[in-house]
Amino acid sequence: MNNTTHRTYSLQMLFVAIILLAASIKSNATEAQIDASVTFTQALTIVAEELEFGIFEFSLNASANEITLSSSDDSITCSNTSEYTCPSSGKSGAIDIAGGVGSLINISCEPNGVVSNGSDTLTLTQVKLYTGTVETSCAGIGVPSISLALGGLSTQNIVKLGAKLIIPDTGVGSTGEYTTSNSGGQAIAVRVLYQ
Amino acid sequence: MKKFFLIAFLAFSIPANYAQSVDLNFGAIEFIVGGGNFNATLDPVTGSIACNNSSYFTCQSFGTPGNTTILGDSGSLISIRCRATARISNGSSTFDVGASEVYIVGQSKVRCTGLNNEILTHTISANPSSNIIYWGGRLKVRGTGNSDFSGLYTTNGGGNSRPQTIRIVFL
Repeated sequence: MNNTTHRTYSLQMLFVAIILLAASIKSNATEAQIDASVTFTQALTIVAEELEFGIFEFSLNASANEITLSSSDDSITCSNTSEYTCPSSGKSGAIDIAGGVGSLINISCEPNGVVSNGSDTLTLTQVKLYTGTVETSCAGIGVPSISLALGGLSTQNIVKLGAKLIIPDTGVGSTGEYTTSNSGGQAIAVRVLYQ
Repeated sequence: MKKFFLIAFLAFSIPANYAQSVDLNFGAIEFIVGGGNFNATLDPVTGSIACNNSSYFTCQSFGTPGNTTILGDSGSLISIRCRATARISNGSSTFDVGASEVYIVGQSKVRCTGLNNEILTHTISANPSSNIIYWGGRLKVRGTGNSDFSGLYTTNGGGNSRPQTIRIVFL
């Protein structure tokens, strides 16, 4: 290698070294990016409306009766119409659900309840839910009876309830208003959860 | 050729300095539409979350502070700077994560005041767990009106989102 070539080669290596040194000197600082996140979920809110069978008259010593309030059309059917005067319709219960539009929810419910006049009680059973198209029996809290996607309109998220009121062979017992909120009563439990 | 390799060795003998990061996470927050303004403050020391407006918002008690681990030679002195505000977005709505604070074990937490303002110095320890910078801040929900603003919000969620930046300068 002659002197010119050698000098050129040395200068090239020196140039490379300077670049490397400059790069390493500039690397005394660094930046770390840290990300952040949060998930917002619209809370489920539920407004419940009571289930109302209405007013029934019964004859002295009237015996058993099974009174069904339909969840789909509010109609009332009595098994014993000879000793009882039953209204043709009542008012189904309802739960009006608000939450994230498009969110999937599960609804589960107890199949039973109890109404009381403060001294005597009567059993509610065969509780059913109605979405507007499908009627489903309640199978217990934690066992979904209905799954649906919440709509954007409030009318899309209403589920109605019906049930059967059982009067035993011994009859009503005593007159008066029977409710789930009286002493001895038990409301129908309904649970709504996001999937 | 010997000259070249000797110079190259000297150039690369200055220690490298870089960091690895873990995201800050506020977790899941439930809200009722129309609840107005809301703040959730995540403490970088404990990870606890303090929230206001509990009538309309439900937040977790604890989240995950963001953190970054400084890697460098033990005994090296560093200067720390950081942004006061990051921003999270779901591509449609954007919220600030402001009042940023950072914390290193053995020191008090300090408020971030921008990338050009030194707020902390630290001597790199031989124990890696002593070289972690933790980040916390205040999530501010504003201007939601009566809208359903559900969703996942992140600092790389589009819109005006922006991560936190920790600037580490070796002194």
